[in-house]
Amino acid sequence: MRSVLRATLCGIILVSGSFSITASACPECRASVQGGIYNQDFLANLFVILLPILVLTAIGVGFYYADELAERVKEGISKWLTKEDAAL
Amino acid sequence: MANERRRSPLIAAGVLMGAGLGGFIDGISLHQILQWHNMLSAQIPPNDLVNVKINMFWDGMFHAATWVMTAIGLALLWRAGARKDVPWSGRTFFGSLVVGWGLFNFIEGLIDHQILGIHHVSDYSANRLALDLAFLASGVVMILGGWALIRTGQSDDVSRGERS
Repeated sequence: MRSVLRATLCGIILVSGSFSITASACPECRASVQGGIYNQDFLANLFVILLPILVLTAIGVGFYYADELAERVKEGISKWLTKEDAAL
Repeated sequence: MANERRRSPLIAAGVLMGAGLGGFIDGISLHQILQWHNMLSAQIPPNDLVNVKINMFWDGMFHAATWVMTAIGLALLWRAGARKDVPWSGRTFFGSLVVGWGLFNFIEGLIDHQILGIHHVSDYSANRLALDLAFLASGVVMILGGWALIRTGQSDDVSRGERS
C-alpha cells in the first residue's frame, strides 16, 4: 500500500514538473546562447579559461621529468667542456 | 647511480592530481552548490538564462581541462609506480596532493581573480578583494603544509615493486 502511495506521489510530482514553466529547456534562447559562445571572443575566452590549467600541467609534467632533464643538461655541459679541453 | 632514489615523479603525479581535485572542489562547491561565481561571471554577469547558459558552457570547458589534467596525473602516478627508483610513500603522495590543491588555488586565484579579473571568489560579495586574498592565502598555506608532509616522507625509500 505504501509503495503504491509513493509511486503515485512520484508520478504527480513528475507530471506537475513537466507543466512547469521554469523547467523548460528554453529552445528559443538557444540561438542567443550559441551566439554568445561562438563569437569573435571565443578563442580569447578559451585561452583565458585554459591558462591556469596549462600552467599547472606544465609545472607538474616539468617536475616529473626534472631529474632526467637536469642529468641531460649536466651530461651536455660535461661533454662540451671535455671537447673544449681537447681543443686546447 | 642505479640505486639513486627519485621522489620527483611521485610528487609530480600527486601535484597534478591534487590540482585537478582542487579544481573540481572549486567547480562543485563555488560554481554549482554555493553559486558564488562562474568562469566568466565578472565579464558576463549571469543575470538571465542566456548568460547563465554561456557561463555554464565555459564552466564545462574548465571542468573538461581539469579532467584532462587529473588524467595526466593518474598516468604519471601509474608510471611512477612501475619505477624501481621511485620510493612509494603515502606521506609523499598525500603531501603532494595538498601542494597541488594549494597550487591550484594560488595560480588560478592569481591569474583569474587578480590579473585577468574574469571572476572573483564571490562576485556577489561586497568584500570581493578580501575573499580573493583569503583564497590566495589558503593556497600558500596548503603549499607549505603539503611540502612539510612531503618532507616527513623522506625516510620512506622502498619502491612499490620492492614491497612485500
